[in-house]
Amino acid sequence: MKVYAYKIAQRGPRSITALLDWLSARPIQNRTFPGRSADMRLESLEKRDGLIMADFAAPRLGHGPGKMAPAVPVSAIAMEAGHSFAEDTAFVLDEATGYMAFQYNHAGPRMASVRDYLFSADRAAGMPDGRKPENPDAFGFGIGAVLKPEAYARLRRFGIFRAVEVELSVPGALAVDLDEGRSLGSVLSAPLPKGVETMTIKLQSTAKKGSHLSPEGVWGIADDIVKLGSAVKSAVITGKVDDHSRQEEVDMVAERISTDVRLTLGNGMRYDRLDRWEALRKALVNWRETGMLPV
Amino acid sequence: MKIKPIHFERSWPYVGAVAFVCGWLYLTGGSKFPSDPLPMLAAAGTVASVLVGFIITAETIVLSLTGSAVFRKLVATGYAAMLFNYLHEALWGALGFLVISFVGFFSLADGIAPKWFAILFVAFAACSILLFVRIATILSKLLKNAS
Repeated sequence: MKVYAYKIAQRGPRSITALLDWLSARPIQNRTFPGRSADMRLESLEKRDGLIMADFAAPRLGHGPGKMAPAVPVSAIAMEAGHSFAEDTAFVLDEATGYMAFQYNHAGPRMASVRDYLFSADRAAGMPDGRKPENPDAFGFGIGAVLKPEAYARLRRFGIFRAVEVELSVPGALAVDLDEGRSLGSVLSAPLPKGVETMTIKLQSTAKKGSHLSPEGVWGIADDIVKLGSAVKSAVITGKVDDHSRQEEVDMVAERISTDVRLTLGNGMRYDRLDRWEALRKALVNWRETGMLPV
Repeated sequence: MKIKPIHFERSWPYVGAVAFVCGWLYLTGGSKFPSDPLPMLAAAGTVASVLVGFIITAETIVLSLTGSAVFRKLVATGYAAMLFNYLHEALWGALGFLVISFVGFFSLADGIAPKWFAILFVAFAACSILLFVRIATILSKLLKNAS
């Protein structure tokens, strides 16, 4: 199981702890709010030693898995009426620092979905009468990926920035677009892909000797890349220390703090929630103790 | 408070119609209305009928697109309800224009339109045309995306 480091920042008046407490106090059927492309919910919440352990679930839509054996062909898994296949994703958050270890589940809720879900839930908590907020920016949380300290150090050493190339996934219209006040005309003006398309943006200084990109601009883009998290497919910043040094590249996706953990499949061929939380807790503690997470 | 695109899109035909009526009243004092309005009301009724016919046809076209990926995306994101609202508003606007044209045609027996009727007629005409422009623009974008 792949685990990534993120850092959370509060936007509105409610802390993540208060919001998760509000959600977990509700019956499970009332915890459902829109995520990025489908509704999802907080499945389970626990707090231990200053850490918040959360698990989010979303229905698996479309073609589901079947079952098979070496001598038995694939067959459908019997489902009760009203049930669907589900995918879940966990995180473990350090309340004091805002750093979190986030499970990567390709078929389940990803960071962008969890971020949108927290925004929707925060808005519902703040506007219980269902009114639209005047300022939607006062809700939700900013959640950004964390880079390895060496990557930050190399970027800081760059005196001259030569190019920034970013490849982003563009998911088209999203449920949150409506909440954030995007018009139907503008939604239809942009491409509405069936799945995910990518867009590549490259900013490069001119070939003239001594030309370079503005460091403030590049740092701004670097911050935005980090905030976009898994929507960024690749992001490479090219630069050098001075005119006499060699050009170097910092890959901001490959340099993200992450770790691979081995888990044993449990009941129903699934990773047990407590095993995932424990693996995430260990990863977070390890990053903290080895000084990987900037203070 | 900053006006969001969604609020602008929802309200501009109505705001535009009110502005048009105010502008018409300001510039002409409401006097630029035919002294014998019956031929114009008959023509307006025909125009309104064409608008109603077009909008009902457009609804049929939209229904034929419900299986498309673009329409499914609009349903998933909550924008399909907005599309149907715009269609209904355009339909009711055109029907209102049709009704006021017919009412005027049959009730202004002496051929003289009172000022309140002229204002109402201009308001309905402007509003129905702007509502039509809004849905026609959106439908052309929808068809472009669906093709």
